[in-house]
Amino acid sequence: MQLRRILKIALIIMGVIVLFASVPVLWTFYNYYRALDDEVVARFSGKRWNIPSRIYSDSTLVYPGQNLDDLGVFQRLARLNYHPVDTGKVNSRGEYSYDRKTGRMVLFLHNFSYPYGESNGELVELVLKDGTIQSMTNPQTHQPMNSFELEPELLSGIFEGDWEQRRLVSLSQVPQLMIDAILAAEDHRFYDHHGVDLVRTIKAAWVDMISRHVRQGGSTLTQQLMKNFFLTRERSYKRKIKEAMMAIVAERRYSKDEILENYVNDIYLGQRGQEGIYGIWEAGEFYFSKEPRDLTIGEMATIAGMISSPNRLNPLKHPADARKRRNEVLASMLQDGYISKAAYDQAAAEPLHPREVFTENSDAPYFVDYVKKELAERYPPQVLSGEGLRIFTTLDVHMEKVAEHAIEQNLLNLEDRHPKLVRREENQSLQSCLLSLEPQSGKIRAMVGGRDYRESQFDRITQSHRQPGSVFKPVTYLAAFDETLSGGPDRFLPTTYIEDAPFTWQYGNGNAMSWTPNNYRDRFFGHVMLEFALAESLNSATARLASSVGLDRVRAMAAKLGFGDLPPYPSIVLGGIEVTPMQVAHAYSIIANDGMEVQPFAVTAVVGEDGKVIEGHELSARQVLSPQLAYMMQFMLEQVINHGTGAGARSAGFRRPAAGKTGTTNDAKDAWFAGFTPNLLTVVWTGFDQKEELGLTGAQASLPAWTEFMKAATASRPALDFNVPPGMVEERVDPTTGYRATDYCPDAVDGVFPVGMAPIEYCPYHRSPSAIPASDHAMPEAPDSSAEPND
Amino acid sequence: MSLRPPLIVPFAIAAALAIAPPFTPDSHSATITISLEEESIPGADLSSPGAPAPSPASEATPSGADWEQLPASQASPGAKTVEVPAVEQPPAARASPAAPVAASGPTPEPTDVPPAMDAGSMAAALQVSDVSLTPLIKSAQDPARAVSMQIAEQARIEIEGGRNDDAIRELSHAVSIDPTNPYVYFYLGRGYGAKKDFTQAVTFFRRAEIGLAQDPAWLGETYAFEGQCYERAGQPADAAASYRKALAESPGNLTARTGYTRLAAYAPTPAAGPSPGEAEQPAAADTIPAAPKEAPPAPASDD
Repeated sequence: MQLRRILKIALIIMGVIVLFASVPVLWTFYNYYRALDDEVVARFSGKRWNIPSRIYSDSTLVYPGQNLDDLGVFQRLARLNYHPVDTGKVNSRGEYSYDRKTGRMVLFLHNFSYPYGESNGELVELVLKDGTIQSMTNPQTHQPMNSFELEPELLSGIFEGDWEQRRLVSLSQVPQLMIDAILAAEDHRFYDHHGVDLVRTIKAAWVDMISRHVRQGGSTLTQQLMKNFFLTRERSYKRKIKEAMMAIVAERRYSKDEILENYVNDIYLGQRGQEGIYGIWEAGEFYFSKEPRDLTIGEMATIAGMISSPNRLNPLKHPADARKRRNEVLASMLQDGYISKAAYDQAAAEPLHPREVFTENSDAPYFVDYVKKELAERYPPQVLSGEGLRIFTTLDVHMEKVAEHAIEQNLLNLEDRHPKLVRREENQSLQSCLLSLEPQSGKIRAMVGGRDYRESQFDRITQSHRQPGSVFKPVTYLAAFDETLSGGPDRFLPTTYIEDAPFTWQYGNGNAMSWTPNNYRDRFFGHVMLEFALAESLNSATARLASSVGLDRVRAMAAKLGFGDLPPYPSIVLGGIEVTPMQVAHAYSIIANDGMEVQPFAVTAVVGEDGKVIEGHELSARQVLSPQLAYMMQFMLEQVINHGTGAGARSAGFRRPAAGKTGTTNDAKDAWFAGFTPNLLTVVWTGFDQKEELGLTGAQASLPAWTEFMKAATASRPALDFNVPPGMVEERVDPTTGYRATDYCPDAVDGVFPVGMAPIEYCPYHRSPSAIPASDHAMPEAPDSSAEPND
Repeated sequence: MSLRPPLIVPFAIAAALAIAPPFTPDSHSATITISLEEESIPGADLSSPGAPAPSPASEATPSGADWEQLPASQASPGAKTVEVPAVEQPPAARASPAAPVAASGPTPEPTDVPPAMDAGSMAAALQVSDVSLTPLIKSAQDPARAVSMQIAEQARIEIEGGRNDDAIRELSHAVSIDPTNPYVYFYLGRGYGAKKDFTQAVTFFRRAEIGLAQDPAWLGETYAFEGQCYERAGQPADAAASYRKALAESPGNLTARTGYTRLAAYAPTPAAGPSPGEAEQPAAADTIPAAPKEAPPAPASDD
């Protein structure tokens, strides 16, 4: 009795103790549960993912008459994840066939969402002859096509931390079979459990115990989602317990559909270079060039199968492993009753083709930086890295590649030929930059800010202030011709004579100061025409012209061309100022664009995640110079390339009508070439960042890169000549006399004149073949520019 | 290559003569509209019938009767023998820098602006730039030109439907494809004009002029729209000068004709003062170097 009583009391005491002890334990547990609940609710109801912004290049318009190689079509297709298949086998988007023998190409374009409309990828059939498009038809409708657009290329993303690219889908956009495949692959009993699948967990725990490691993944979809949402990749029992509890919380709070929708958007499905592929939309797009609704059962099973090990089971890189896994998933689907035996057989027989995946995302790092910098002025960082903006730009990736290659190759050649230019120290190596744009549209097409972005992110196009040297000379000539065209007292024409002899410019108060420019290698040419003076880049003649025109007029012209308010020193006329290559390109683009200023630009449109255009570029222009004045300068600069200091471009095989100017600073620290065809302008600068002596002229150091680039970049563009504006006439002139040249004038040169200003009388000295020998009144001979370019 | 759609010529002539012939054009009948919108400028009395009233400037302006008496062959865009308005040959006038858009000299107060024209007698106000560009697309020699012309055609339709922003955006692609296509600049001008950005419009019209020098109908059209921009921007003297240039190129241009009639009072006569075009013109007569040997100046020589 006694014992029983004692036991009873002990039991009561114990009960009381347990009761009292369990209250705080339960309380703690309750609080923990509440905290988890809050966390889950906060995540589900708030913004679930930061969607990085994407920066795209320009699209490529393809039309008859273009050559596919010149346009770089095959490289573009590879970068855009198109893949070649056998003739007659083009069945889905992103495939093409090309039979070189018959010249027949069939291309199934991707869908693409452009800023102002969706493009439903069409099937295009091209007939080619030697790579040049003869005709284009839509093989389904047999209608001839005038052109088609190859979609823009992804250049880079704007993100924080890792680049997690995803496009969100709602569950209604996901085919049921895709869901079935995921469930078959990852969580058979999804609809039967409440967040945790005890059967699987116990089985997994048993495996773990035997192996003494946490190995088996018994996680349900909900647990996986919780793990991705809140937890690290660490594998521990503690984390597993938290994950399981959160899964239970989530299942209590949210429907199965809500959990599934989050899951299909969240999962990691592989890597394209730096960019992580997240969610089934991106995966379908990347691996199969399809939207989820267009995927086949086999493709859905492949994607579902990848979830457990996205990189090892990548169907493009490891098709055999991916196929094995896919068939496992298909077998599961069959077993679970999601698909019929017939569907299984068909899907399991689908081939998986390996293909090369281009993983260079940051194709144009300097350009991307330029774009990001521009956008950062208008958008807060969290919007750029989290709101999934799509940023469309003007870059042409093919031209960018050509430019990068031209710059790199030219620098290697220079170092090879001039070993003194080689620098071993970090950040000291010889540098060069290239900017190419369309003067009329203002589109920046290629931008190489330096030799190697990994070595130096300093963008020499916009951040490097260097002396322009002779590249600045056209400003003086423009000021002079402007005087002529506006009816000023002095008249200057390309054929006007000027003295190229030592010259001292007195200036300042009471002419107290003086400046005496030297010619290159102290060579003077005497009585020369202005077109010769610019073509040979004569310093003395140019300074003399500037003093005659007046420094104020030269400065006013410089301001018009965007060089700002320059100091009133005569040395500015020979480029004794500091400018960026971007400024030079801008000024030259006005000349190239018949006097019209169109601001160079990089961003064509910014589109929000909802597809609405937030901002779009609109072409606008301002007439800065008259077309006649611009044409006179185009003509002058054509002489530079045709037989002046830029003649190296011609000897290197560049045949198109082109105009340009070399530039070398006095101490040979900067070497420039700025030049253009009627539809493309390119500026190249070469030098050392540390402003060491280069010892080379613009023709030697920068012109080769310019020429190589322009040859390739203009090949696919229409061959155009410069516009002759109304009111201008061309006339051949005898350079020794200034008379209109006869057929017998031996050294006749071209000239352009405003109507009424061209010489009328024919040269009296060369009226017949047996005229006075030209040597009696010969022009100075231009130096051999290839051997020793004057500058 | 004829850049002028041949079917347009009869319409232009008909409009120019304003004789309202009861013609029923076969292929284009559906596209004929009376483009009153273009003429709906304050001050223009389109509804008042009757011949234009005589105005103080009527000596310098074509009277309605003069125009009606013009034989068709003379009014065709190819023939530039119209006696009025008396302007110099445009190529010479364009020999010098473009006049600033905003520049307009002191404008005389109009004492009496003549009624624009008899709207009731207009059969069709069809202009070269208001009909399909398909003939130009088909005749394009260069593939890039053909593609850019297609965009221009699309833009033309968009402008017609009031979608000016779309048009301008697409035309800027066309500029990228073929920067020498004057029609693209022309429609950029029209797009901006429709958006009431007259400065931009005139800039692009002027650019178009460079490439249209060989095509009087289109050049006239360009001047006419330029005139309209000036007029809407409140620069009647510049507008009158542009209309006059338009009529010199393309006497059948309806926009120019109505505009010029309306603004004739503003048109500076050679005696009253040079028009902007004339002011730009280099004094050709005294600039021809008679003896080039002496003539070429050597301004820089410091000896």
